[in-house]
Amino acid sequence: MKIVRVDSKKWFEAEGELSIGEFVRAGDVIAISAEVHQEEDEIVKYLSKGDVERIKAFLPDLGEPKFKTRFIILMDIDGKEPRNLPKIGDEVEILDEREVAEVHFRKGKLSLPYLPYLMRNDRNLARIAVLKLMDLFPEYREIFDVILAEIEYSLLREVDL
Amino acid sequence: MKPVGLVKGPAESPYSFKFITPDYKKLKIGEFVYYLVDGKKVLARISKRSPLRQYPDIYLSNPSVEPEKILSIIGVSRKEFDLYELKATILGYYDEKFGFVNPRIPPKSGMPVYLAERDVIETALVKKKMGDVGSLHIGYLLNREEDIPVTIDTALTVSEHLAILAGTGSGKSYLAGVIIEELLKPYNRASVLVFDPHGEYHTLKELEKHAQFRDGEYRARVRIYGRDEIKLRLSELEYDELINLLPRLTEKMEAMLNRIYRELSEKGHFTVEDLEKKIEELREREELTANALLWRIRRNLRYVDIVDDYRHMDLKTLLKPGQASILQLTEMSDMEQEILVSALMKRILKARINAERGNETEKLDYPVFIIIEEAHRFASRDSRSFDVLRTILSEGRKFGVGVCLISQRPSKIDSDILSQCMTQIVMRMVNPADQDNVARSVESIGRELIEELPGLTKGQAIVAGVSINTPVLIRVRERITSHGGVSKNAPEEWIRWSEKEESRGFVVEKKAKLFWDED
Repeated sequence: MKIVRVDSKKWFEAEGELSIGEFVRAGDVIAISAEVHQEEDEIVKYLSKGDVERIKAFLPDLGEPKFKTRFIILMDIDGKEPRNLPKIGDEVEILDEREVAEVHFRKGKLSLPYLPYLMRNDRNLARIAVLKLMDLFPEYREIFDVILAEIEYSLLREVDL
Repeated sequence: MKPVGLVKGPAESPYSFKFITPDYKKLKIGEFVYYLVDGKKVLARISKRSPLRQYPDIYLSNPSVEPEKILSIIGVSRKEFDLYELKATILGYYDEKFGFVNPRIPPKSGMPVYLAERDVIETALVKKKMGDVGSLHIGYLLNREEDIPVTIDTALTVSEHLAILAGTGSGKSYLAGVIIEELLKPYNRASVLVFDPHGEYHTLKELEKHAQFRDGEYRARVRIYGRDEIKLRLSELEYDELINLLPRLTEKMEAMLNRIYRELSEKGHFTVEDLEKKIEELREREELTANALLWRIRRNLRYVDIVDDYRHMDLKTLLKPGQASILQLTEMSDMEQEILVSALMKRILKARINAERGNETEKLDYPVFIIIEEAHRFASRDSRSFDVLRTILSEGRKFGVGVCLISQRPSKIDSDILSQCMTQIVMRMVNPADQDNVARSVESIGRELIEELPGLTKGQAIVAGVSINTPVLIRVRERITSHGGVSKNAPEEWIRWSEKEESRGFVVEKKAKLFWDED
């Protein structure tokens, strides 16, 4: 999975499909998969339907829509605010549970400095991330419960009946 | 000196301002701070403190999870989070001649605010230093961990009267004990009289053994007067006091008594017997009235133990510089207590007036200070001693008769009397009626400090009035003598009693002795 687009200090996009809430590493940054979408190949937009059919005979995957995953950059690999943006073409590497635990535990303490940003921008994603971390750090369950309660309460407030 | 905060701007009144500080330990309510105007330290008292950044409720949702832990996980340091807005009331800069002078300009936004140093407090807040002649060291500044002594001016305290107002169990008689100790120190040598309805002050006798109450030839003395020694001579009583002793007199009876009283007073000394003889002489003309009056005199004057035909307390023995006389009123009825206070205080005032005017009758050549416990019983409008107390409170100052009123029910003390007490020490008080009464009668304390009253604990007090430069919160100093007003520890006494032999299950059968069993 390679980066195909870097939107800002907080967002980048990679080709391929990944489930929401996966922690990844790309270059020097730790990110989380936030959105997945499908789009047509750019060339298809400029060709007629007949041309597309003809070309498909030689290149069968040309007209197939492509999956892309957008990621939110959380922190750098040292748990700090990232100083360097990831580059287009960088490999996106999915972190396993051990690696996720490692990047969240520094100097003997649990560290989630990105949480306020995540809660402000995508509460659902924050909820998924917290639930994952809750399993990895059961000793912090009480704290995660408090955070989760706040996320769920703000989700509840969004649905004003 | 490092500033503790920065001025935000003026508060609601022109005499107060707000400042911002990250401090959460030193700057308590009642603490003194200052800012600089032309190099002068303008002192202000902190009256309100509110956190600017409080934790959102969710951080406080689980009592076993400290909010700091959540903050540390999301990378927020607590230091950056704590910030407080404080309101301070400007007292002014201290000038030895004029006292506090308000610069009448609130501090500018951004000006540094400093915590008042010990020497600033000692110079500006109190009129006398600890141990100075004419100083009463009553305690230490409440807000400081270090002992910064708070003294009040003895001369102003005793001449312009003192009120100690506090709820039950907040330490008012303990504080009165501290004041008596101070009054008897070699640098005061006061002449003190204590009306002690609960017998709490006898322990002051211990001070006679302490070196602190001696200086060269000077030795402080404490005399305890029990019921047998407290006597008022009948002929010393005013007509009104005599009437007070005789309940439900008709107009005819009053007229007869008045005639007899005037006749006997002209003679000087008289006894109950003289009074009875005179009434009997009038029996032929007004038999019914005379009989009723005689019956009342025999019943009531003999019943009232403090009234005596011959014995009375010599004022010069009772009141001497360097001596505290404790009158224990424990076994007296309310009426006896009120009559005693009324008659004795009237006599003291008269003796002081005689001394000031050079009259050769009974006189006291030195000022006296009278402490009245449970003052609401003697200073309420319906009390027999009300009139004399009101006179002394309003005129006693001129003749050197000072009064200290101690009460747990200030709302029952007449507000005219209370407002004459120019130094006030107010301790913990929860009753709203009493708080309101204090706020009304004691203007010098101010509404903001009155609000502190329910929050004070035992031994903490607000001191205000003429004998101190500005109201301060204090913790009362420790007594040198032991405290006589300690509540009984009932469980301890029950256990001690139950361990005695006669209660260990022995049933001592004693036959009641009847008159026919007697030999």
